[in-house]
Amino acid sequence: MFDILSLILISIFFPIIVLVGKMLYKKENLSRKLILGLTITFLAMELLRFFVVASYYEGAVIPSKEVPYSFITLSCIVCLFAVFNKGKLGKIFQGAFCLTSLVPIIWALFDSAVYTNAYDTHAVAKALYFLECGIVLTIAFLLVSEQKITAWSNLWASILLAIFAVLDCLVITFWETKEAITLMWGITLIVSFVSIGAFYGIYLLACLLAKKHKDKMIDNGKENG
Amino acid sequence: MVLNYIVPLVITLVLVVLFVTLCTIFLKNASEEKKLIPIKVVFFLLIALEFCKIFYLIATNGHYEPSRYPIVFCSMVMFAYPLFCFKKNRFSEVAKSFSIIPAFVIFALFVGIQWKFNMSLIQGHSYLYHGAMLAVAIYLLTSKLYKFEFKKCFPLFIVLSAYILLSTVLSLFIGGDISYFGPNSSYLGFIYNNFGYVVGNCFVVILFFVLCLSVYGIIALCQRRKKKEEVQNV
Amino acid sequence: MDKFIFHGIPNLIGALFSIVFVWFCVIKFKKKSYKDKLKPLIFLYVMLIILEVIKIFYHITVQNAYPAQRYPIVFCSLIMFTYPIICHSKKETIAVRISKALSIIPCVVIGFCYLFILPDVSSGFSSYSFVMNLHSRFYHFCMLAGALYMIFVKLYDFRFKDFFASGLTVSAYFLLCTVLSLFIGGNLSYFGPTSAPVQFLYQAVGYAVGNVLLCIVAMLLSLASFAFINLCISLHKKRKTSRNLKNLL
Repeated sequence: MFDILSLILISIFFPIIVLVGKMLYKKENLSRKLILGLTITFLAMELLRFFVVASYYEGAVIPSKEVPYSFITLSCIVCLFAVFNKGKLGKIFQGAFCLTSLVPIIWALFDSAVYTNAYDTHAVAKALYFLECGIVLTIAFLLVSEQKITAWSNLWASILLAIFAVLDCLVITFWETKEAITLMWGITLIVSFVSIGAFYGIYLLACLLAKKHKDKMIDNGKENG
Repeated sequence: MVLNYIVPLVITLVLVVLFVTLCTIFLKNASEEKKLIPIKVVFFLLIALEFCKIFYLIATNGHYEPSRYPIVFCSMVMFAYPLFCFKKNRFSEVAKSFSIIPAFVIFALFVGIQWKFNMSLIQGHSYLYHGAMLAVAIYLLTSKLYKFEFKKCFPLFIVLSAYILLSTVLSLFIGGDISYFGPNSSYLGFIYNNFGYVVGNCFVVILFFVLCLSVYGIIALCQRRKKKEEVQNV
Repeated sequence: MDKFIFHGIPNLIGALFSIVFVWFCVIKFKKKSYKDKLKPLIFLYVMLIILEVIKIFYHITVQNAYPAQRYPIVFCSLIMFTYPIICHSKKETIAVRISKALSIIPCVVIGFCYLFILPDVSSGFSSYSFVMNLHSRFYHFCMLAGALYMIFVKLYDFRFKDFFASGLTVSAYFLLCTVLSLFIGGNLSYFGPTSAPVQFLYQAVGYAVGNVLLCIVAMLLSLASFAFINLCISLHKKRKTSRNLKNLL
């Protein structure tokens, strides 16, 4: 219960803090620099999370059931491609990354095994996971404010999620991470698919509002002279 | 011995020579972008191999031990390739020098110890991995993508030592035995036993400094002599 | 009665001394140049360092041990790192502004919390040595005196924009302390793993997550304090202008 609360708090406040900072200190190319910095931080944190989890076990030998792997790992790889590839492929990855930015949070909400660990006495891995969720959302917001998302991105995001589902199935069956694929797993997957649509819908709404606001400003300007 | 060591080694070397000659001949007059395509292929091959390794190890052994993490000394070229083969940036030249001399050193070290082990699937994977590394190192030289300059040796040394120190710290942090330079290394175990792990790592860093300096220095001297001869001839 | 003797009387004496110090310094340095205004801060800074050295010597010689809890990286020793930046500055860069903000708002909060609100810590004469407690009290009064002096001499004009940077710096310091705490395994600062006031948070969500949440709280507190102070300043200005207008009319 408290875990979920803190997850939501951190993943809401992290983007807010970063965006407020961006608004306060208006500098040239700040958005781009923030994206680059956050992406590298994201990668570093993901690696750190792996090592932190590894260091709990004797001789750092991770049993297959406890490998800290989840959608966030895939998200990290996609984020790297989305930020550093400026070609057509990069745009596809951008759309997919932005629309799936809510999925790590959903995965954590439904299944606490993603971040909890029996040996994690100081909750370091948990804190890293929560912060990563915040970072994913922040990067997504910054990318969305820079570049437009097309309707095709829904498809790319769905494909990304499907790839993850297949991978997870493979992992569950071959690494025997869970008993079997449960009903909860399916529900989480469905909610994740819905979240893609929800994110796109919110994005469209925000675009509409921004456009209305802009029109109003232009009208006001015309009236004033 | 023959079946476990010499046959796979010979096969690897033949493959490396084939790869290098074919690529250099076919891409001799191509643009720089096209010359980089084989390296891209190798890069994706290495990544695929890495994923296969992880899956294989976990599915067969049931766990994932630290000496197999992709932060060992051998896997560092994997991080250097994307820096120069996709888009040029300020780290490209360092990354190129990073994947030449260390690759030769790693391959030599790798070959020097393989006679101890029996052939297995993971062993074959290792041969393929290190062979690919060596092939790219030679290909970079033969296709003239990389030119030796003496001033390139210092950034290379800094990056190398940073990588070694980073993996040392990680190794201490996890308590595992990462890379050949881990606490139970078969090459440097005697240094670690005598002076301690961290001091031994500093020693390794100094060793690499001497190596870089000597290799780049000798090549620079040879180039200078060649130039002088050319001037005299003219 | 015990509480009054061990908690009330030292606080009263300390408060009296710090008020006298601040008053004296304000009268003497109010109308002097910026460089002269920094002199009391330099004095306080030297004093803090001497106190720190005395603490270390005391621990090692008398108690034969220097516990991790007493290293100068606790939350209260934040000003030890901000004062030199303020004292050695010639221009008012952003680092100087932030260190000024950090040596006022958190110091006032910490000082008041330590001295007046949390008697179980500051009056723990039985739980810890008498000398150390006196030392701690002295340290925190120095902190408060410095902060009050800076407010009264107007060394820092609370610019609203600074709330972000100062909150961020406090959070960064906080996280650094956490990481060090985890490394050393000691109970660093008030927000260590077994700290009393935030223990419930750690038990509910774990130490590291609790610290991240505390960082968010620090950001919000920084925002709130800056907003409140700026509101007060603007109200004061409005009243002043209206009074001036009345006088003119």
